[in-house]
Amino acid sequence: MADLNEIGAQEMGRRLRVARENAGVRQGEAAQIIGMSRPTLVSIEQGARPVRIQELQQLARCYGISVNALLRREAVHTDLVPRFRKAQQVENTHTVEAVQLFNNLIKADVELENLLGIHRRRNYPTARGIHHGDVLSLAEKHAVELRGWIGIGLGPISDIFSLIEFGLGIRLYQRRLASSSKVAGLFTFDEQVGACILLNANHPLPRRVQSAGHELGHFFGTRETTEVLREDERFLSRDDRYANAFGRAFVSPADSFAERFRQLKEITGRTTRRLIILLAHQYNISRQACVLRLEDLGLVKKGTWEWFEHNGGITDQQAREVLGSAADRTDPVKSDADRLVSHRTSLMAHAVWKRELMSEGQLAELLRVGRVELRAIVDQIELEQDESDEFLKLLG
Amino acid sequence: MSFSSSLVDFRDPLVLDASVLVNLHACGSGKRILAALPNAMVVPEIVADELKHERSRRGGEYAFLDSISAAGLIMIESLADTEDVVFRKLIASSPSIDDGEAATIAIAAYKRYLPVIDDRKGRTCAELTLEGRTPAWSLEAFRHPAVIEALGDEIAIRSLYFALRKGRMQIPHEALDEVIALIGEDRARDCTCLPKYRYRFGHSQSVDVDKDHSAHPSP
Repeated sequence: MADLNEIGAQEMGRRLRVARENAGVRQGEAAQIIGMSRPTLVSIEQGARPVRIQELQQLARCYGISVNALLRREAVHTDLVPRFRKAQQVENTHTVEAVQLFNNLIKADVELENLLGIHRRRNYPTARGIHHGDVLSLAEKHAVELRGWIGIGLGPISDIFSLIEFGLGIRLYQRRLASSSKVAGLFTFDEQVGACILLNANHPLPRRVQSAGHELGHFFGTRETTEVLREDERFLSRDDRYANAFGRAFVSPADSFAERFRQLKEITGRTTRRLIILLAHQYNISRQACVLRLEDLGLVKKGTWEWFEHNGGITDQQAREVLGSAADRTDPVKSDADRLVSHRTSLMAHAVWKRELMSEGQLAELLRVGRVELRAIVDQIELEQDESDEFLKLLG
Repeated sequence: MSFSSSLVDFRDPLVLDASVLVNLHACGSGKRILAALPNAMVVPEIVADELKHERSRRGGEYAFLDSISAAGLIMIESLADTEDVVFRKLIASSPSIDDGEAATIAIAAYKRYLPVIDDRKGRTCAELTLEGRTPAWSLEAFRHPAVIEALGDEIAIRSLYFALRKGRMQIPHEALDEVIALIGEDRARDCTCLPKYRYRFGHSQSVDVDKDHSAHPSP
């Protein structure tokens, strides 16, 4: 058939391998389910033997995807699950869940963008590499370099997420993972889709800022390596120690952070809770991250955070007393993360549906939602569009 | 324009796409509607497989399919070799459609059955493949005289309302006035899936994308 020949046995084999690995099915299992020998499946995946349409249908069913998703020209076949597995980053069900979600978000985003002709501008600096030297010093130096490259100076960053997404052109997703998931963030880079970051939207804003800084460290220092950031990570690799230090240095650069601290301390005379609350607020970081950074920079004694913790901590109530309503920062990401599909993806889905670039079934599969859920997404935007059409008529 | 018209004198089998089964499930009287229709009903095996998926299990569509299949109201058919050719063309060519829609159209093309499809891209594709034959809408099944007679006016209208309200069934723009007249302005306000809803009602109810897919109503 022209359709299968058009794709070519090798590319088809690659797509089948990626689909199988993303589904977490072993070659032996897949071969057994469809009544084929393992060597035959191996040769199909290697492109040595063309797959027949009936076999393709059976394999697609086994991997829980449609044949159309395997064959359609616009589909994107990212291989994040095997890539994370290869990097020994996939250790438990929560990590698998996060990587699969990440993979699905990227696939959907890229396919919808391609269909709509949306070109995502990449503004990537050259990756620095961290093979030689002390990682902590490298991280401090690189964080200042990246700030300089972007042109944001050394002051506090009001919105690190916009900086990542629009300043650098990195794909940034903030979605809720399972409530018991220890995954804080993921990073991957691929020539086809670019650099991508997923942050766990269950985490509070200051925690996500920290995770974003960490992943940015991977982007700038160790771009080719896929990475999972876990809350409970105990043994840190060189890459992770670098990324942690980079994140801290990026959101609170040594010189300006120290200067602000000194300015405040001149007034308070000592390191008070009020001082920490004000400094953390200025830099959009958690009180804990703030104190630990001061410890790193030798501006307060090591163990200061521990002391605070043993003496009642620095509570949200205290922060509210100092900052008033400003203590409750708005976090619009949370409401977007509560949606089944993000606002941006919903808009793109509606546009491709409206232009008949994808059918309801194709979109439901791509976005991993039920058909009625998809209809609700489309209907919502249709309603808004009716309204804007009316508004434009009024203007006209 | 009456939307029961195209099926009234039509006795050939109908091929149902997944979107139609979703509507029939949402309306709460799907089983009775299928039983009342004089046509044989075919569901492609690929469509049945799609409904076996976790997302459809969650929504109850698979259980519905299981029950109508067990009751002998539908025949689940796999693709014959000849239909397979059309199927492959539809899923692999650009622009393509999904497996279920392609299988529905492929069976209809070769057996000269009438496909029932609501999705706009699926309908466009069907019209091109079926050389001028126009697929039926779910709405036509809901408003078939045999269905109205079997269910009674009130339940037939309530089923239509639930299909719109809970299933967000798509209807042809030309049927809008007739549908609103049937279910009444008040209930139509609940159906944000209706074409040009905002023009019609001025302001809208908001669509709760995440919570709207609740359990279907009792019949």
